[in-house]
Amino acid sequence: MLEFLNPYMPWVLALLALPFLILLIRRRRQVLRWAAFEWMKRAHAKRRKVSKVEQILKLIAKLALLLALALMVSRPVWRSSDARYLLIVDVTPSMGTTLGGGNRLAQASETVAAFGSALGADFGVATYDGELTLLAESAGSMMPTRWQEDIALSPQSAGLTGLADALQTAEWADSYDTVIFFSDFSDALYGEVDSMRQSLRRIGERRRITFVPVDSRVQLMNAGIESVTLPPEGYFTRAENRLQVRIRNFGPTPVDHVPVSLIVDGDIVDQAEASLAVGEALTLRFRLPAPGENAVEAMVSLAPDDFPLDDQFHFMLEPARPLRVLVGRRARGDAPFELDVFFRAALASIEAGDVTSVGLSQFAATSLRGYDLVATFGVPVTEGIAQSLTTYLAEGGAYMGFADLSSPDAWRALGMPSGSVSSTAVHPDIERGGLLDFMAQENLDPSRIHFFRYATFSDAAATGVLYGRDVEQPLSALFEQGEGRAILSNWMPAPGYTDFFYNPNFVQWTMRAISAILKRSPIVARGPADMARIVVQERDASASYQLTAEDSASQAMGAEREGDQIVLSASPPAQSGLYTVLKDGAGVLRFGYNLGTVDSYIEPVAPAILKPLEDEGLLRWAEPDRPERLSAVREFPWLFALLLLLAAGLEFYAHFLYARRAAS
Amino acid sequence: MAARIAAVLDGMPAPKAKESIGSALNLLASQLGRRRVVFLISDFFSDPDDTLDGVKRLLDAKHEVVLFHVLDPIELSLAMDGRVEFVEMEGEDRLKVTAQHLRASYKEIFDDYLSDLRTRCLRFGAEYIRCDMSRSFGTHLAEFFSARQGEA
Repeated sequence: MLEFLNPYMPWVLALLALPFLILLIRRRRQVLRWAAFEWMKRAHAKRRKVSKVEQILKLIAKLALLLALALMVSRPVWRSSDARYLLIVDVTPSMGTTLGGGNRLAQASETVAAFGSALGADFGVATYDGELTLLAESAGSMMPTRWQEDIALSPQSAGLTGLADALQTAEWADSYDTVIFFSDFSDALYGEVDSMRQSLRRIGERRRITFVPVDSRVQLMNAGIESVTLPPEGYFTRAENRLQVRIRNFGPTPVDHVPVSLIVDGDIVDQAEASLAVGEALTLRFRLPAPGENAVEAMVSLAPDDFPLDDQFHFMLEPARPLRVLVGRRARGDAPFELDVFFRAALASIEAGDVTSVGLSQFAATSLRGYDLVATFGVPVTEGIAQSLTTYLAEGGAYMGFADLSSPDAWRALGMPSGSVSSTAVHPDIERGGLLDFMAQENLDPSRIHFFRYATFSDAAATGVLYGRDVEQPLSALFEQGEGRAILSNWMPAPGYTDFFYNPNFVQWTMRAISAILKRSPIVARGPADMARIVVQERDASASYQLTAEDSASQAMGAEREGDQIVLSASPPAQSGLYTVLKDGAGVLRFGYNLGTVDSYIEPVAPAILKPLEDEGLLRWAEPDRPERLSAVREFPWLFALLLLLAAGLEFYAHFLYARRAAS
Repeated sequence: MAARIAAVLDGMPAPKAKESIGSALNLLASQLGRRRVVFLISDFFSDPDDTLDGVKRLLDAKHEVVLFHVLDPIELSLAMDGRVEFVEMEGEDRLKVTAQHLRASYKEIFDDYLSDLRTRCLRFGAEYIRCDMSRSFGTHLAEFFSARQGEA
């Protein structure tokens, strides 16, 4: 279909030419009385006869010139169809990879604008981060405005499968029959050929799709922080501790001497340096000074590289909160010491605690709810107590049970499947020469952690069960029930074992056991998925809750009351950092927020991987700097040149004829 | 003498009607008695055959005939540009042309005419003098008489 991009221009041209036309029409002739009129008439007659061809040629040349001028200003185009384009910009985190002076997203935004201008058809601009969001649509030949201001990185990762889903579910997208997708096509999300093939087929059933690579650079450098965790030996709020920082080289080339720093309240408290092979992950341990009374801001910072979004990990370190502890124990009787003396010693090393010690009968009658930790020493696990403990654990409690648990019924009563205990026996300390050998040693260095280093309760088998040498029944076992964790041990304190129980290593074992079952971490950090449920100890759901960061605008949070607490929800921010929840303007919660590392694999997918899809005709690429190739309209600049050439040729030929005639 | 002739010519009134030179010459030939020298001063833009018939009649009567062909230089060269409307001197015919477009063919035809006129005059035995009026007619006459005296 032939159209004119400037259909009114010939008329404008005509209007502009009007004064010249009037001038031409009104141009005066010189009037001369001519004596040799006869010969003038003959010359005129002769010229009229012989220059007819010249005149026709010159006329055609002039017409060609005029036509060229008219075409040049009116810009005739051939529109191949009434296609409607949807330009989709990938806004997943990997688009935050640095590129030039900005990042991939900024580059994509400019490329989309260039394509929009070149398409010559109606189009819409949308972002994709697992969901499609329509930003703007062109109105006729008018470019949409302001859409570039609305483009921002999203914290959500998504690949082509999600795009196929989104295109199917977004009803507004049905009006677009051609999709142009602008993405970095990172290896992690676009490198699976079979998945790509299925997604492309699904998309191709309803519309044509073309891919525009935003950044084709290779050999990009990216080392990032995967996680910050507590060490397996536990975390003790009254002592210097260690934090584990796991870093990984996500790039295709080794990285050397990458500096890593632990920063607390703005001060670097520990540093390390790491060299990583391709794909290698390394866990670094940083010393953390004894926390004070207040929460502190902490951050692990990595040297910047091509992908800065994973170079920092923000978190809050919360101080110890006094624990409410309930201890149920048998009467002292003939025992030469308090049965829970080692437990109290261990507890004092971990937390300031409010310990309530009750006897057997009183324990059975006490409600366990509200206690952070419950321990029993020699208390028979009756059915009633087992029921009470099971409920307590289901709600997230922490329980230590020291008793003669030789009877499988006792284990079973507490929800511990005794049958599976024996069948999943582990002997973690065999290589070290025996599980309990260290306990017989005297004057051990209390800072050395023997037990958990070689036999952790958080074993991958889910049920960490420890056995002594040549002992059929388990010595102790850690298991999870509901939201809670429990440790059961048949190390029953008894007369004659005083040395054993006062052994500092046994105290240390108890410290770590408590640390293992308390579901409490001083590291307060959240990811995008955690933003849907943020619990605060408030009661007023009608208050104004806001999520705010130091360097970004705040957003309103949804609030619902759930029992004695409020559950808040917010859209995941795109930027990592420290965030504060404000209630009516006052801070009620502060936490670190970090994106995942799914998008840390920023290297574009290798062309060879996608070659089969191209060969099958499923995958079509467009060059980012040649948007006109996807245009629905075709201009004819060569036509102007042809007409000009024709005019010049005809004029030249007319002159040639004239000269030849004059010469003859 | 040339000056006197020129002065007489300058004082002559313009012709009032389109007349044939040939018939005037025939009349003159019948009225002239003894042998005379006849000076014809004209642009000779009327019918050349008619003019030359009159000239031949004079020559046959043993008169000497000298043709002074008076021409405006612009008539010779058509040295002008632009759109011009030529109007017939002794009629109402008009011709609208672009001067430069017509120049070449006009000059070609007009030169042919001049050449033909001169050739035929000489062939009959008349003398032909082309007077380019970029110079005064008196100058042309003076040159003519000077040349005659030189021959004598």
